[in-house]
Amino acid sequence: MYLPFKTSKRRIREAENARNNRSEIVKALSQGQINRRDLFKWGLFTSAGLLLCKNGLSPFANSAFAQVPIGVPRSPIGSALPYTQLLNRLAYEPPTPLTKLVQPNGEWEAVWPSSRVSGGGGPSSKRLSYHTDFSAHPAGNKPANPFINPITKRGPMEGRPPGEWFGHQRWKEFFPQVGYALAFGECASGTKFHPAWPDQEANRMWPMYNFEGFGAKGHFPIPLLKGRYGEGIIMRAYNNLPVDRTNNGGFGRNEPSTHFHNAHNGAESDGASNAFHFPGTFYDYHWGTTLARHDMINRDATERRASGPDGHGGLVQVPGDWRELQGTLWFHDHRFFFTAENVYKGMAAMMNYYSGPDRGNETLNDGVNLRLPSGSLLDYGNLDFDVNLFISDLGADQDGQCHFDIFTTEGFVGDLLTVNQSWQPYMEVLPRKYRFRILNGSMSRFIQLCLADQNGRLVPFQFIANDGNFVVRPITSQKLDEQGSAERYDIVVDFSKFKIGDKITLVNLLQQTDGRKPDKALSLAKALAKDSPDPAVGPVMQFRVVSQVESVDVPGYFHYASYPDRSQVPLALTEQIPIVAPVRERHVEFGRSGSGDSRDPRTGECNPSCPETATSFPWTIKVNGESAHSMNANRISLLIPKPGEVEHWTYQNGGGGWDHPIHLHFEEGVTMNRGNDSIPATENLVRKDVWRLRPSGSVKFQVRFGEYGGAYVAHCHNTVHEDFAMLLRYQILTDRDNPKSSNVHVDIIPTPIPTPDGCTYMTPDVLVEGNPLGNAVMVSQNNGGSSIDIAPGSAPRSGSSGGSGSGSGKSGKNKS
Amino acid sequence: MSAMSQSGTWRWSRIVRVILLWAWIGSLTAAPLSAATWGETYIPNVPFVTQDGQTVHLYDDLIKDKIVLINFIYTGCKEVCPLVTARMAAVQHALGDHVGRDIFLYSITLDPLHDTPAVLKQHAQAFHAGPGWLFLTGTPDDIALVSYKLGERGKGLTDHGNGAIAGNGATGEWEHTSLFQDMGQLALVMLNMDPAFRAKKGNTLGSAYADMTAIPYVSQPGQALFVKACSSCHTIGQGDRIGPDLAGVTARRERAWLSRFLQAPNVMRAKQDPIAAALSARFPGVSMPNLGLSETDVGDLLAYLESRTAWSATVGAK
Repeated sequence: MYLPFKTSKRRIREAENARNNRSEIVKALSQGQINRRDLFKWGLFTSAGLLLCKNGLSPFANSAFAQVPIGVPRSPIGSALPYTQLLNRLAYEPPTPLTKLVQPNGEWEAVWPSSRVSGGGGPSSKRLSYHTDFSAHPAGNKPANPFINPITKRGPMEGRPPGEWFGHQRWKEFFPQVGYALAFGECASGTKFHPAWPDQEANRMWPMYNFEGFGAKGHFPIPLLKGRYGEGIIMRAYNNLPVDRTNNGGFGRNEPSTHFHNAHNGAESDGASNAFHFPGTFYDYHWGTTLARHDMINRDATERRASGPDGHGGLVQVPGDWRELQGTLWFHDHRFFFTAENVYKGMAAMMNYYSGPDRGNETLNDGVNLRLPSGSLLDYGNLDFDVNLFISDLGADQDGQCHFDIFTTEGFVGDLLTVNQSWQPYMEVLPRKYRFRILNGSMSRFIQLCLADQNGRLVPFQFIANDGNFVVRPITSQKLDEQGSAERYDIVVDFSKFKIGDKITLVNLLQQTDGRKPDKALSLAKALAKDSPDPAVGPVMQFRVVSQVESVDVPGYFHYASYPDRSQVPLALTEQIPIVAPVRERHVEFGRSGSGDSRDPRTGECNPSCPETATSFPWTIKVNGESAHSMNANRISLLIPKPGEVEHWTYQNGGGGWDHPIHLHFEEGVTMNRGNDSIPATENLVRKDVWRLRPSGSVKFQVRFGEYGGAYVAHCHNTVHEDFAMLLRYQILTDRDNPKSSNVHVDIIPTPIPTPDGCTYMTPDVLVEGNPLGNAVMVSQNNGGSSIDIAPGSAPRSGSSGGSGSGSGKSGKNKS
Repeated sequence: MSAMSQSGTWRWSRIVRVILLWAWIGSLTAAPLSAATWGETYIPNVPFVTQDGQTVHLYDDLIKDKIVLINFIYTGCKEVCPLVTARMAAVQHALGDHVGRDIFLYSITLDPLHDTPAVLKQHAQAFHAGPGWLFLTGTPDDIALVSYKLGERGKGLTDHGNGAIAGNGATGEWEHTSLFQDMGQLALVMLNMDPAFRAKKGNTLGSAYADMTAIPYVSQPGQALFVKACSSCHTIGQGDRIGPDLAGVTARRERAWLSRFLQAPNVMRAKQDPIAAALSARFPGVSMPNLGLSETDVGDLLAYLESRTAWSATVGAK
């Protein structure tokens, strides 16, 4: 997406001017200021009378100076120098305690304190969406309806779809004790990636931030939340974006849907079920902090390691498999077709889950706590020596404003890397151990990181977790593996061998010049010399060893280099989940297996018909050797019929020209192999939720599903590819014999169709090969008796007024 | 393709006036940034030729002030492309009289040397393209520029994308969308491209919207396949469309032939199979693609066609 470093100024000017020149000529021609004869004279017309793709007229035309095919100028950095701004720590947002209110009908509500935001804490959080109340209210879609969107006076105030289908599963069991009210909104003035850069315009960036009423604006850095096992959470996402969707700074859509990557939640709170919501509304996501295998393993909660901190040095023990505890997580917008643009705009945040073993406290010694570097001023969740690094790329136009190529289908690669929304920052560290939680939050860029001392030598570190899951034993290493979009690597770096004043650099070794795949990793020396056409190769940020730092956990308190480092990196962090014989195997092939143009290369003819090498759908699926299938990106492609069944999945990359980081929602898989290819120690038998497939590569993992039901997705996490149908839906059905799990999600849940006036549903179709139950599956007709249209496959209607009728007559037909 | 004519000059001067008028209107209301970013300075105003041989300018005549759905095709494509074009035909049907009035569909060829206006004309007719659906060609340079700018960046013809982009030239909004998603959702994407449609509270959707084809719940294994893979071109008892009506097809043809044809229609055509040849003659300009169906798929499909035919006969008899 950029010209190489060594590009002459002349070439950069050429590229910059080319588009303008061309459009000016076209305009002049169209306005009659010049005519075709002039253009012929100037040699700018082809014999066919059309404008040439000529140097100076097309940014894509080859020039003597062009060294890459895509001649878009590089982002200007103005007078900004590296390491002149302090690293932003992500904006920690404390939780708001909620209180339980029991309604006469037996429903529980979680009440927000009135002090939460000016003007009141907002309506209490409920099992069913306020859309249900809105639709049932006699006032209909009118301002008199107390449940109406307060900003637009259209549609319900909550964007969560109505009725039981999007009711919170296991609400009382994982009842929310705390809440976070966050918002997406325009950015405030002063939002910038470096002090020397111009402010981003209000609608260039739409960061996620702590909600303070609809009048307030967003800011950098994005939030960091601390969750703990045993404490249910409501994340209320307010949509404070402009009502006019064209008011978007050239990219992005004002209809977010927040996906919590990769927590164990019901589909209604997974944020990837087409349930996006409109400006003025909120959406209550129920994050129960359920530990996976809750219904299968350690059901009596006697295992001490399956636990969360109680805040007073003790533990809250929970059912589930402690080997599936998660740590470093994030959440981000997942609006279909707009995910890349919206995440790029800042619609994301990080969340650390804290547990008995992973306490975020390095001194508390109770036999369960691993005492990893973090701090000790707080009972849990210390951040003084435990640092989230959200790394993402950007490209700016000549005014320093972020730009995005909304037409790209290959992937947008920015030329600058930022850390926590700051460009090339520095961070002061003490000479002791630190934990870093590194997330690649880029849209399409792969990175590969290492640390260099000031003599250009690699600095070793310990790798402790992949995608938020501990490796069994810490792995000492000098370079991280490649890191695709959404992958998280936790490492521990020991700065104690450095002197005060030493500087250590975080370096990106991986060169990437288009959205398809990285080119290659460079040597550290070359990367430090920035000997690459990719401006994002080289230093990312700097650590400076100092003798004292102020605490972020308890501001005003200082830590000194002389204090002993009592943190540990134990020899074992977790235990291995064994690989067993699966109940079922699935094979999903992403990308095309075709070998390009199948016509005769000499004649260009198909005589009589071209041989088909492959159907060119973005992905195909095989289940247990069934024939491949790929028709339609919008259907339920896989059906997971019974919780707890062990499955082996193989993801295969059908194309050699691409790499895809593939993400499975809701559950993690134990990585088994990469076919015949080598597998790094950081992945071998390690739990993950995003896998880089590698060009023409494959990966096999063991997975099982449980506790919740509904529609989830698996997709490429190159967020640009994700938007272009490299996405398959899978449906988890809950167990009819489990009284704890949802009795609604034993059937297939219809697809919500949101509109500004309310949400309707549509019946999904089911791919037969992915359906081991054959014809026995029913679409759920049980939506709690609310007066919502069930319009199977028919046109979605703006059924805001609770419209009865039109669809309901058809719904019976499905059962015949 | 000739030099500007007298009437052309008149037309340009009229366009200049329109531009001035627009500039004046624009000065009253600040244009959204997206319009400035993705408007006339971005969309190349190159001349294209329609399937009827008419020369049009991409931005001025086809995009500016219009709501559009654009995809890229080539008529020589024997893989999934015919199905993609059939889905465009389904969009045309779903949007009804919006098409040609306030919504326009454009299929731009990536193979301008082969796809002359005459070839495109036959292709358009095969897919029953109405007045609001243009098949466009141009010079290779212009096609390359436009396809690049509109996001079609495949490395070869068969590498090209099967998606489509929806846009509104007046607001500068563009979004990628999928022709393989549910037709109702896709129609909604198109209708929502109009700010007036979005702004209208409790918008009672137009007749075109209410008429949209329902996708019934899959109660038979072959039904999902039929709905997704076949129904864009074929009906069961509703008459010929892009391809033949399939009512009674299981009685009309031998099962073995059907099985072979459904799995590899291209091979059958290559072998000069007489029935396949007759079908090609009856439906010129379109050939059924190889959909990669397996023997099991074919069995499911035929069972569905059989039961659906029988059901139609029962209903028809009443």
